[in-house]
Amino acid sequence: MSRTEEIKGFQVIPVTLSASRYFKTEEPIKHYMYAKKHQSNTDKEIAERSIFLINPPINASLSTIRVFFKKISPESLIENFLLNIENLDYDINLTKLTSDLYDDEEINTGLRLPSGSSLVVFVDKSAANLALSKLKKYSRSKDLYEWNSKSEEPASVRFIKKFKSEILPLEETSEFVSKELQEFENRELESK
Amino acid sequence: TKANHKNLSSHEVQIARETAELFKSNIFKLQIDELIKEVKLKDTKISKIEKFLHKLHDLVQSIPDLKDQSLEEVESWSARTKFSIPFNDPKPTNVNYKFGYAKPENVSIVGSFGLKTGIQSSHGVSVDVNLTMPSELFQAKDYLNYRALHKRSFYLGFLAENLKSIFKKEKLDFIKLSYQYFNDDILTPVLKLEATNSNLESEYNFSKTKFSINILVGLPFGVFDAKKLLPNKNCIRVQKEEDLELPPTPLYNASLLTVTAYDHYLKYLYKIKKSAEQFKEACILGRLWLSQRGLGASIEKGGFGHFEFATLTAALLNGGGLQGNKILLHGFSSYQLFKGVIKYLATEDLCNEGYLQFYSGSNELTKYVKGGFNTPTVFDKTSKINIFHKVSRNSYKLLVHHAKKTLTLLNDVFKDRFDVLFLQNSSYDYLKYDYTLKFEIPAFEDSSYGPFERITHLTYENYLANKLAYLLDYGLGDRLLGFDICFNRASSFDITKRKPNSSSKISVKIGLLINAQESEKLVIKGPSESEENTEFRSFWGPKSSLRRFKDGTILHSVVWSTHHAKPIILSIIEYIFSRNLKESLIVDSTITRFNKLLPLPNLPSSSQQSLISNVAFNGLNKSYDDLYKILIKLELPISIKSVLPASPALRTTSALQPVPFAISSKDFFNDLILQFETSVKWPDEISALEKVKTAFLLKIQEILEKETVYKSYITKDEESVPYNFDITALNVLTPEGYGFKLRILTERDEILYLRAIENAKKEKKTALESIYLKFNQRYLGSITHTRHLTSLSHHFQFYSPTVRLFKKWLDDQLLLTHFNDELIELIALQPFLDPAQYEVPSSVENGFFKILSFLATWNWLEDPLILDLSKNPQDEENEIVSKLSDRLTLQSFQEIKSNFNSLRKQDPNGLKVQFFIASKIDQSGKLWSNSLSLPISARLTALSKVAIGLVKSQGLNDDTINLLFKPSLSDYDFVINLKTPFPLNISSGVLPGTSAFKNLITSDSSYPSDITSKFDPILSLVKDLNLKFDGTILFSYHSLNINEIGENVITGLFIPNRLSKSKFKVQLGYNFKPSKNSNDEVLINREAIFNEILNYAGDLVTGFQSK
Repeated sequence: MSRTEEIKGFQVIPVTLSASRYFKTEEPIKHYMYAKKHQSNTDKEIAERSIFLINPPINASLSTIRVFFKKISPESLIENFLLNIENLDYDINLTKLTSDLYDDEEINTGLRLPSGSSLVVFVDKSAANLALSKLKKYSRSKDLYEWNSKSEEPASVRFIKKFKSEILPLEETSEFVSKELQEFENRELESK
Repeated sequence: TKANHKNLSSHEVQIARETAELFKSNIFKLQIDELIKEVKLKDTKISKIEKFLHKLHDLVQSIPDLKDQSLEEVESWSARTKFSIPFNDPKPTNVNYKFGYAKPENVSIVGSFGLKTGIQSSHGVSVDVNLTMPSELFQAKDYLNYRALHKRSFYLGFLAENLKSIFKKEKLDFIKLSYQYFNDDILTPVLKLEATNSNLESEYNFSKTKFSINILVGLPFGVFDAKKLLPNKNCIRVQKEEDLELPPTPLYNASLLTVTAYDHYLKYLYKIKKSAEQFKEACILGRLWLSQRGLGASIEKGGFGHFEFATLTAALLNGGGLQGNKILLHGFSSYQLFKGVIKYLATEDLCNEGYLQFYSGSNELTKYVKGGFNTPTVFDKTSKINIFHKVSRNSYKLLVHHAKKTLTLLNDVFKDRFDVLFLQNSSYDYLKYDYTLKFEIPAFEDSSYGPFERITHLTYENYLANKLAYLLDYGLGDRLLGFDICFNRASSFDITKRKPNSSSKISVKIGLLINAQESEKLVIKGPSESEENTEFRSFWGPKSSLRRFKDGTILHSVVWSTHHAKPIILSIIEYIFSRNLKESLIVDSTITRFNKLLPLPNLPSSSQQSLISNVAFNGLNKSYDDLYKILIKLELPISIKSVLPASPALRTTSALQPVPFAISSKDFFNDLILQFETSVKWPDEISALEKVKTAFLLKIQEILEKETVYKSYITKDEESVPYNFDITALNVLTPEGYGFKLRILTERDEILYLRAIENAKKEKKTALESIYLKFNQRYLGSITHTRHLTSLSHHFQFYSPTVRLFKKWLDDQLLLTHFNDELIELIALQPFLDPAQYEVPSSVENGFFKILSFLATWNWLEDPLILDLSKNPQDEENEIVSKLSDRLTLQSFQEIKSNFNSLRKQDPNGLKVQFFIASKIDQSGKLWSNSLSLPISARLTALSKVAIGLVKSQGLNDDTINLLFKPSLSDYDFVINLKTPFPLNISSGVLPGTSAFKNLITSDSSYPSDITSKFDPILSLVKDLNLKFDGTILFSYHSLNINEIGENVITGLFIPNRLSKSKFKVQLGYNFKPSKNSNDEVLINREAIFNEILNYAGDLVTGFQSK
């Protein structure tokens, strides 16, 4: 059976998913990621050591991505995994729209990942290149990686923890607020 | 200048009003013309039936005479022919008068067909043919003791038998004959002719016209001395004990006179029709109006039908005032005539304070005469008939209600009311009554139904209706606005039967209209000890006792107790019916079943609280007041000016009632908006401004922690206003067990959001506008909304439980989470603020169905919903100009309408805004509906249609009620069954319904050490899924946490346009796979999606189904 290996310049990366007892299928279920070398004009340094990855599995995180690449390209060390699922429009910035204390550059720095996409940031350019060539090889192979889509922690505990994480620590928040307000004051002074 | 301004504006309003009224009546006229054209009987059908009528006329002439028959002869004729003589009870025995048949003196078409005011109707049209018996068959004394009526019955039976054989001979055997009680009057059976499908080729077969013919059999006008048949005279001489005066027999007298006057009234009405051009059209309007309300000439339908309407109209064309001054003028348009009659019914008391007298045989003036007979009376001095004789006191009360409602609608200059006046069928019980009662009682056991009662009331049903009316009037008094008593009266029977089969049980249905202000009062006060109190004491029996009241008076009184599901009215009715009708009578009503659908708060003795009790909400309000007092006194760099409530529970509309420590409830945290004294120091930049607010909240938190027993913590709030990532909220847990969420509003916020719109690039303006709307919702709209809703729900006692039931329904149907609470509450206000042809709902059942019925018929693409948030929107018109009135002005009404029109111009298919719901506090109409999606709005409409359709077709019973609240899971692409580790119902403050463990239930009396431990994990799960599958799948789930074992479902619906293949691109949403045999196309990876969601939801999952 022929398999699509590349689609519009993206490497197609199939993985199999761990079975669920509530949804049984004869063959393992496949999930597809799509990867290519990252290109960016705003942050060239990061761009050249990153792989642009779309449609990562639902529980993709720095740790699950590390485990995956450890299998594919053990030598490529991963520094970070950035994922955007916020469905936000980067062109809307309330701060900038309500104040003239900021210039465009300040606002436009940073990564602008399209919603639903992610960036696997490696420690250096060669690690990234190696990983990409390994991915190409992988996408042709028959042995598919089994992505662990089950989490170690029971979901009920995990979701409650999310509520807990919304509570802000008082001291840190207090310090953060005063620092930010100090910066704002400085800005105002500068602009006068 | 202020006074000047006021005058000017009221003058302006007046002009606007007049213009509007003129405009409206023109539109109205066009609508009426159109309607009358629409309902007119089709000429082809008329000529078809006329052809048969001519034939019938000829055939009747061929029936041979049969005179001077004794009862024995008549009976043997009947036995021989197997034709029954429809004698009424008591049938004649031992009589020495003679029966006979002779050619009718006259054959004429009477009723609306004769008058040409008949209209199309789904249940067919009947043509009344009157055969007048010749006077030679009667003697002067025949008016007594049913004699004339028995003679008439023989005449009818003989006619039936002869027609039957003639029809056979003439090959007209497609005609089916039956007896029918005309208008439920058992004294005057008529012969009904219907055409069947057989012998369709006959030129006379009129079965396709849906017409039927009633052969009435009348007596010659004036055959008896009418004075002897006045309503106060006795004409049935039963054997009596000595010295007992016989009671009057008004129903008998009126029946007998009525059969003599069929032709007379046709002539009378015909004369009026000739003299008043639009009389005919007014009658047609009246007829439509009556039929849409389920009113009619039969006793069951209230006794006021087309004939009564037409006659009243005719009488009022010749006077009607105290001095005979004319109420209606001959030159009036149909609309004016109709309105005039309605106004007369609505404003003149024809029962207690006075009555109307008119002359159908002369031009003497119609006069309103003071001093009524305590029975509805419109008295014809010519014929001596009270044409309202079939209208009972309670039917009259309902008729006046209808008239009053209609008058208000006719005076409405804001909305086009044509639809509700004439086009909508408003006769469904579940919309018409707050609730209905049903019960059965034996037909022959009532010992109080003696010979005197028999001659006064004629049937046991009439007697029972009268008795029930007394019981309800005396026992419930002000608690009811009105009631309607119906029986399943058999009115049609075979020509071989003397009368319909009598059943041993009588089914009674009583529809109630409740007075919300009085309905749940605990005490019925009677007379004081010294006053005459026998009636009170004997009525209430052992329930009545002497009580001392706070003001020192001592009165006989009856005390009732409240119950969450059973209205006090129902307890009273059960008591008085058991006492006076039949011991331990079982009264069945769906109302208790509906009331039980509302989750009970887990509070002491909550099952003994009335449905409209606000006790649970009062607890929360008290806690709010206490917190307010603390906050307002806090020493801060700027002091707090106000702490405004902005949550459902603080306006008594939360789906679940607030209960202390119910932290799993989605409404546990109540939003409060904090405002400070004015200051110029707020930063002029949004993120810094939020940081300053956070600093204030931190400060408040610190003081609360140090100086009070209040617990509090700060959370990030990224949902209130999108793109504002710096909002924080202070969550306060009060010692009494309630939660509040404080956010700060400054005078700078709105300016900044508006500035953002201004500064945004053109293509981003819409996005910025919806950000502003979100800010407006959370910080401004919710406050005003809460203020108005609090006051309205206080005014409309049944609003709060109704909106709670509506929310429960939405949650059961998996829709609740898709709507703003505010939007739901505004929709639920519709039947309260604009009851139109109905009353304001005074039961949860009625309110609920009116909401669904509104939603099922609301064409939101074409019609805005404009709510007048004033408390008495239906109050008389002069209030409009009063400065004190909080009514919506005509001007703002029109502004709102033009907002709607321009919105629809931009968005004709409702892709962006479906529900336009405006009021004076939101003229934009989209504040709360802006973020809704088309599939959700459409689903709400569809589900409401299904629900109303179900009730219309299956009626209300346990099965249908269960079905109404059951989600149809098969509509979704997939369903995940879930279960939380422990049920959250008790920690949501809900008392479990299953009684098994009732003794073991203890409500929480303190906060857990980790407040988040009892939050709903499914809420968090769905939030993640929504984020991940945005634009691909629509998720729904139950958010009320009332399931007693913690079960829940998440359903998924793929957004239709995502189901087909699409070109690969980066921002395609989640989750897709390469399509086979195509290079750059992808499609949804359903299997992976199911698998991943199931694994992601982990131990919460208990099952899964997909299409």
